[in-house]
Amino acid sequence: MPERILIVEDEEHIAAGLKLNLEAEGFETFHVADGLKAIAEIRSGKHDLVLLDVMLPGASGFDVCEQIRAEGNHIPILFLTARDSDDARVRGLELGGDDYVTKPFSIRELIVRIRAMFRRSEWYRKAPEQGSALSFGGSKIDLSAYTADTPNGAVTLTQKECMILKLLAEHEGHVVTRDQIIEQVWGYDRYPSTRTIDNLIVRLRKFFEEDPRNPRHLHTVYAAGYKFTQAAVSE
Amino acid sequence: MREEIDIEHRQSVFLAATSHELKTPLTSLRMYVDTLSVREFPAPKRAEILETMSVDLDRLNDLIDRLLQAQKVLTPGTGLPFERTDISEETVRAVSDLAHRIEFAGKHRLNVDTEYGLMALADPRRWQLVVKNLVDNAVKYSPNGGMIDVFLVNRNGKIELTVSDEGQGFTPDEGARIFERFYRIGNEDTRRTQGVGLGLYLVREIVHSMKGTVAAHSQGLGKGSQFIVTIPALKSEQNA
Repeated sequence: MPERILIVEDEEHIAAGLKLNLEAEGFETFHVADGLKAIAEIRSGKHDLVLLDVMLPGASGFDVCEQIRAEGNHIPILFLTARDSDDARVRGLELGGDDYVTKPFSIRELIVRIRAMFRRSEWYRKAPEQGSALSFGGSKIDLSAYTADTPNGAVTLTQKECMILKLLAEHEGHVVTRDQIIEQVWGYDRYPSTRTIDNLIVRLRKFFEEDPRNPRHLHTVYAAGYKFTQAAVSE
Repeated sequence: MREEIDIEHRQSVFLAATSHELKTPLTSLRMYVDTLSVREFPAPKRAEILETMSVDLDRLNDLIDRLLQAQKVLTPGTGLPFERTDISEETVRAVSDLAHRIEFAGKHRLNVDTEYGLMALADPRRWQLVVKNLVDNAVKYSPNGGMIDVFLVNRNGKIELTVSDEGQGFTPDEGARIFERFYRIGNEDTRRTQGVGLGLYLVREIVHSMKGTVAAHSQGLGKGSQFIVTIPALKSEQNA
């Protein structure tokens, strides 16, 4: 069954060109020109990925993304916009966009990015070999539901936090570099900074380590990256 | 101080809007050039794509023309000296220039009713710019189509041009600011229309230079709008 892409774009020529190219690549497409209609379409669950303009009638692309993420919907969203400032890019990604492409764009590059997003999305959904439950240090994490039971109580994780844990667990006992995390979990190179990754690891240690300053499962490997060990190992 | 901050903000909105307006046809053109260079299409589809590209080129050209026109109008001393001008004739000429494009799009009906031979001291090209900007504005703010009326009459020794539409209208707050430079209804993320916020400002500047007035009326959102321009007419003996 072809993957379904929702095109949210109020410029008819651009929408028609996107439709033409994406359908030639084997995708199924559906087009709306209004932010409020986009929210309703995304809620319908009929689409696998959203190409989202920012300047839209009804509700802006930023508002659409914020609303959808607030509802716990993790559909991949690629912003496709003329807004090319760093502030706008960071805003789009912080609101939960998965990628950000500025106009005018190369249609070939856009298609490569869309395929990469689908691959990443597939990896997000796929349960690790050991199953979607990950247990260590007295905590039990559900990698599909983004929830965890810890000795200090129940915790809800963000999608990115959960995917970092999943990636580390898939490479249990081996070093995972910060670049690998960005590539696999985010998929683009300008955002986030490696500092963002470090901050997320600090947050995860607060949830899952008995003593976050002396981690026994989520280890820092100096000048290399991070390593996860299921069994407690002192650094 | 507050006014300075406000104009600064509107200038940045203007730049964002101009950049968006330029990039939109460029994006479309680049995409279709890429598409034609890697994909084969049957002749009718290829012709349709080329027609789309041609419209994008026109749009780009039109925007650049408007920015240059604005620059000219707003630079002191660049206009022609005012001369005896047949305002009725120039009004009909301006509407005729737009009629083809409007009727081609097929959404709006144009109704033009002008009293014959109304004369005023004016720069004919700038008067045409007033009419074109008001009609364009009416088209732009009635995206679902409808009737656009253009009336020109002599009322108590003054020439009165009225352009009305059945479109989105505006709130009293928006109406109070509608002629300000770079002002656009809605915000930059949820724009309702294309444009950069110069058209009505230019109308006001040109009309003021003719010692005229301009006013905007709307019964509210969704209830259409009406723009009335009044300029001094040449008296009947001057009309002779």
